[in-house]
Amino acid sequence: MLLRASSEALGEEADLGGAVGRGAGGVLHGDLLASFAELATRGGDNLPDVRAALIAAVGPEAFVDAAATVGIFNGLVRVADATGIPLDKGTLDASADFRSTLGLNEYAGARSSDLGAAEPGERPRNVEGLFGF
Amino acid sequence: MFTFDEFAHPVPDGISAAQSAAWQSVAGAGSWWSGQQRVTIARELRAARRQRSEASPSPKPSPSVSDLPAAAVEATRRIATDAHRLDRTWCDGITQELGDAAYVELVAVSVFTTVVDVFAEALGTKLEPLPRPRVGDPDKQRPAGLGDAGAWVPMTVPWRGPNVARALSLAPNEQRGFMGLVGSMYAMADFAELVWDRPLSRPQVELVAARVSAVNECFY
Repeated sequence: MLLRASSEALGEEADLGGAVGRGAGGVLHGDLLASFAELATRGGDNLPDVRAALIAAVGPEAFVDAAATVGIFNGLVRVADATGIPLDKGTLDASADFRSTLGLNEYAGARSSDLGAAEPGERPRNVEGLFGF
Repeated sequence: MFTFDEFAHPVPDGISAAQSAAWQSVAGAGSWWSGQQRVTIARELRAARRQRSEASPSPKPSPSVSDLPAAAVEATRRIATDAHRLDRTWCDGITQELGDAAYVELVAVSVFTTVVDVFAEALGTKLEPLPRPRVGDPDKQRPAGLGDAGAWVPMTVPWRGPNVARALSLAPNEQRGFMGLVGSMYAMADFAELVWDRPLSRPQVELVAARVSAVNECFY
């Protein structure tokens, strides 16, 4: 959802299938970034090769940014899954159109959110709107 | 502070400081677990992650490396390996054994260890040695004013902002440590901006975040 919103803010179109391993997300070096995210999460023999390729493609500073994102999101998903926290209402509404298409509603954790309460409508155009700041 | 010496390029001081602080906090007594127990939780978490990544024809879990209560070992292992399959019934059973606040503190220690270890593995550096436990007793302090946010454990209500930022409300010190990690590794001062002036563009960062969530089969 923030992938789509931030892509739109740049005048680009996100390819949301990149989130579930279908495509490159519509972003520069998306294929490498997605492969790195997957391998650094699951582990795999070719992680060193993908790491080296990503550093060569985006530079070390951006690579550290990617590694930090992988690290913290492996924590964030566990906080959410272990506490059974429901999805924020703004996010529930804004993601209704693609959750089903991408198969996200089939994840076991979907039981913690009231999917029937989603009110898809005009999507918030900023982060505050999504999270109700 | 963590130095990440084996990585050939600089790591921002903010990341190093936040991870070092989280690591040191693991070593000290919390509200419900001693420093020794918290470091043992980190060791169990690490053992479970290692076992998950080892290709083995037998998925039988190895014996526990600790004398933690069985429910704590079970919770730590499940958080490490299949957090997406947890449900309210399971959580109710664990919190009946441990207490809800002790469970949330255990979640936090498990998450700190996960974040530190996954980041090191992503960089290609060795895992940090587990911290040396500090002496001290848990303070048994339970925060007041929490309520039902529709989750499995009580949280701060009312709330404005991403739900996940209040998920550890029952362990306020751990919540601060966790948000320190989040603030240094992802949601910095520009979190509300959709266009970032960072080495990676925001869509690139969000693709990585979304892929990690999907690999973990996390609905949130």
